[in-house]
Amino acid sequence: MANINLLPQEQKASGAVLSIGKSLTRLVIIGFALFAVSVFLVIAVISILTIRISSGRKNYESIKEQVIAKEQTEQRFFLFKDRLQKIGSIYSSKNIASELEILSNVVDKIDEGVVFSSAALTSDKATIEINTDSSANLARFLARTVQPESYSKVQMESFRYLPEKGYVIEFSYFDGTKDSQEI
Amino acid sequence: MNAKTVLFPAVLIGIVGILITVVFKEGYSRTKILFNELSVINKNTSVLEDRLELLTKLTEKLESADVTVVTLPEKNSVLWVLYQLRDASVKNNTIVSEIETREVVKGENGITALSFEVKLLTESLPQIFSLFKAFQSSAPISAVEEMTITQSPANGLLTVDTKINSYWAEFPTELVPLTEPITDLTTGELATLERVMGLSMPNVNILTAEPPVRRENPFN
Repeated sequence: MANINLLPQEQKASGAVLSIGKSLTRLVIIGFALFAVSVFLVIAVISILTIRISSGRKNYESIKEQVIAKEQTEQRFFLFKDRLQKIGSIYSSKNIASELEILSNVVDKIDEGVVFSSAALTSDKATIEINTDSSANLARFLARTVQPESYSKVQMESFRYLPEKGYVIEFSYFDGTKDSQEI
Repeated sequence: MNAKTVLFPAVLIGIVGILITVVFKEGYSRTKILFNELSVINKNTSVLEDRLELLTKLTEKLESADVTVVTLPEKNSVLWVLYQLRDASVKNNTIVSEIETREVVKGENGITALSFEVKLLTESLPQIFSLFKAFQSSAPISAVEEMTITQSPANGLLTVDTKINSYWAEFPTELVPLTEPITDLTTGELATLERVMGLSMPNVNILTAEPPVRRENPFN
C-alpha cells in the first residue's frame, strides 16, 4: 500500500532527525527499565536489611535478658578481677621478700669464728655486718658467700679493724632477679 | 516537526536520569544507615554473646573470689595483719615489743596503705626468717618494706625494727557497660590467684546466738 502523507512537505521530519528521535525513544525505554530495576533493588535491599535488623534486635534483647539474669555472677567476677589486679600491683610494689631470702642464705653460711652483728634490708639490697677475729675466718666466709646465687652483686661497704671486735666488715647483696627486671 | 521529534524523548531522558539519580542517592544513604545499624547490632550481640559465654563458664573460678576479698579487704585491715604478725611471732618464740602506726597513703589505683612500725625481740636469726616467711604467706596482704636487725653484744638478743604496709581497697561500684567487651582472667591475674590461694587465712570464729541463760544468784 502506498504511504499517504497529508502533512505539507516542509513540515515532514527529515530522515536523520527521525533516526535520532527513534534512538532517543529507545534510550527513554531503557532508562525507564533501569529506573524500575533500581527502585526494585533499593526496595529489596532496604526490606532485607530491615528484616535482619529486626531479627538482630530480637536476638540482642534475648541475650541481654540472659546476661542480666547473670548480673550477680557478673558483679562477683568484676569484684574478683578488681581484687586480683590490685593484689598483683601490691605484689609488685616495694618489699624486701627477696632480700630476706638473700640474708637467710648468707646467714646459713656463717660458720664458727664469724659473728653476725647487724643487718639492714631495703627493697634494693640486703646489707649485713659481721665481725671476726682472724683474716682466715674472713677468707673462709668470703669463699662461702661470694658465689653467684640469688644475688647479682656483692659489694663491700666498709672494712674496719677494731681491737675489741677484730675485723668488722659490711657487705651489701643485690637481688639478681630485680636487676634483670630493671633491664 | 524536527524539534518536536527530538525534544520530547530528550526531556523524558532528562526526567528518567533525575529519577534514577534520586533513587540511587536516597537508596544509598538509607542503605548505608541500615547497614551501620545492623553492624552495630551485630557487634553488640557478639559482645553480649562473649560475655554470656564467659559468665556461664566462670562459676568454678568464682569459688575463690572470697579468698581474694579476705586478702585485700574493703576496710582497714591492719588489725587482721597484726593478728597474723602476732600469731607468727608466737609460733616463732618472738616478742612483739612495740607497734606504732604511721601514715595512711591513698594510691591512685584506689589502694589505701597504712604503714606501721614494729619492734620484735628474738633469740635467733632463723626464727626471724621463719616468722616473716609465715607472715608474708598470710592474708590479708601486707608488704615488709624495710628491716633492721641488730644483735646485742651483751646478751646476744636480736632486735628487729621493721616497717610494714597493710592494704585495703574499696570495692568497684560500676559494672562495664553491656556494649563493652569483658575479658577473662589474664595470665598475670591467674598467677596472682595461684599465689593468693597459697596464703593462710586468718582464723575466724563465728559466734552463734544463744538464748539468754538464767544466772543463779551466788548469795542465796
